[in-house]
Amino acid sequence: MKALALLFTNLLTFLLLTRIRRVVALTLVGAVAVTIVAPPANAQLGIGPVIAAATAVVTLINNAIGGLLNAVQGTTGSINGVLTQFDRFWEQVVYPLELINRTRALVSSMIAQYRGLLTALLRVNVSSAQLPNPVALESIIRDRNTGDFGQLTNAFGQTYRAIPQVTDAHPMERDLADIDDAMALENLKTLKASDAMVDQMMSAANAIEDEGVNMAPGEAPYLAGAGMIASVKGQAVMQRMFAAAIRQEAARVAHDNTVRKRNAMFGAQFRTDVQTMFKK
Amino acid sequence: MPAFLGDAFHWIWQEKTKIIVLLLVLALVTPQPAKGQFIDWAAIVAAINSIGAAINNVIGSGLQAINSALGAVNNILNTINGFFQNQIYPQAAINRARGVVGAVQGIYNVIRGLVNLNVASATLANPRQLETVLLSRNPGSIGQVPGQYTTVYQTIPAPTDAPPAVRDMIDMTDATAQAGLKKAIAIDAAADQLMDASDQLAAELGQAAPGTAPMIEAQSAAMLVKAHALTQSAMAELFRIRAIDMANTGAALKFNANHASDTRRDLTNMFVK
Repeated sequence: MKALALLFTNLLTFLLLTRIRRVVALTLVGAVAVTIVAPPANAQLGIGPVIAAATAVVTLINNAIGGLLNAVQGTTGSINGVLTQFDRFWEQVVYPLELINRTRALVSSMIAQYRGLLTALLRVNVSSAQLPNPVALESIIRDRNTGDFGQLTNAFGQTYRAIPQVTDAHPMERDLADIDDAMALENLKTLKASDAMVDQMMSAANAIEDEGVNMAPGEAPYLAGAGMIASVKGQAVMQRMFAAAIRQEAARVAHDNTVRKRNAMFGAQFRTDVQTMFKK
Repeated sequence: MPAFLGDAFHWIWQEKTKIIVLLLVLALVTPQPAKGQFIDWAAIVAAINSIGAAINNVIGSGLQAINSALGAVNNILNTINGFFQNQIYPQAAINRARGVVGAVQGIYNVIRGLVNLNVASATLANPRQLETVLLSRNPGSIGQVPGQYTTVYQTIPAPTDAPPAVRDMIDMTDATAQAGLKKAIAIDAAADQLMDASDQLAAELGQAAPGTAPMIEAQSAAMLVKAHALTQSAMAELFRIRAIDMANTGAALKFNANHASDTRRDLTNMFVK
């Protein structure tokens, strides 16, 4: 403003030296211009409210945000604590490495202790026949081989003889002898297969056991499942054995029953013959 | 050039009034430089500094502490993750376990072949027909058992040929034997079903995740219980046959006693006459 006033004053002086009329005009223009110019604005806010606002922000940071951060920090600490406990629980209580290794060692120990022994017990030689034919038959029925059923039938025939000829026995008796032989042979074959299956089942158990030596806890359900499934199959095999045993027992009581029927038939025949004889 | 300047000054001098008025108007219209609204800069700076300090001390240190705590959480989670991936469920071990499942299944495929070996051994016509039915493993052929059985083991004697007690015993024994033979067919079929079921379980176990393996194990356990039940049923059938056999042995003693009693009575009567 000072510069403007100075300028204006100089101009006025200069113009005074030139023409009076223009001085008047210029004075009017200057007065109008000065009134048009807006006065300087006053400050809207004092320093006090600004500081109060800043203090409020600081209070907000200290109390609300600080408190929330403290709470979040506390919660995070709690999560950390829970996770630490969780980790300790799994590593020290549920799956302690020491016990995992101990279990693996147990598997190794059991393999060392029982595998050979059980295999040897399964293969104990219980053969007891003395004469050539029974020795041959006994050898075949205990060889755990399913590829020599033909030899078994021959050896069985050598020991238990052939079915009587048609001329030597009543058809009923020949049938009876044949079905008895068949049931016996069936079971002997089934037993040979069973012996072979026992070997296979031992192999399956060994496969599971071998993996157990290096087993991770997460593997255990697989191995247990495999064992469980093998047990189901083992039961199925057992049922086959029972079915064979049932057939054999049924055939045996049926045989005895047929003898009773034969006796009744013979009794009736004898009575008829005696009556016929006395009639004559 | 001096001529141009001279013209310019001359023109300015001529128009000096307009130019002065124009300059005056411009000077008045041009906005005045604004003066600062605040005066106490130190207080404002201090206030801003206090906000900065609060952010730095409260929020900054709080976030730092949270970051540190989250880092610890991250470390523990990494430890747990590593523990599970390396100690409990190592991929290599899981693959090996699946391999074992496959190997065991292979062994049982061999066993299945052994189970299904043809063991038929009868040579004569009637026994062969009976044997074929008995070894059929087909429950649908159970109805053929009585006919084939009677062909080989004969019928019950006529009432004129055997006393009622003997006929009863023969009928009961036949019934037990036939029931046993029928049951044996059913058990063979059940064993086949169990083999199929366990094949299915083994196939599934070979592809199972560590988390689903126990589920298959549980189903296998259920199947095993059923298998035990079927085995028990088979054993019961065997015991029934043996019980009837034992009863027949007892009955023979009773018949002998009755025969002795009848003979004594007949002899007494004969001498009385």
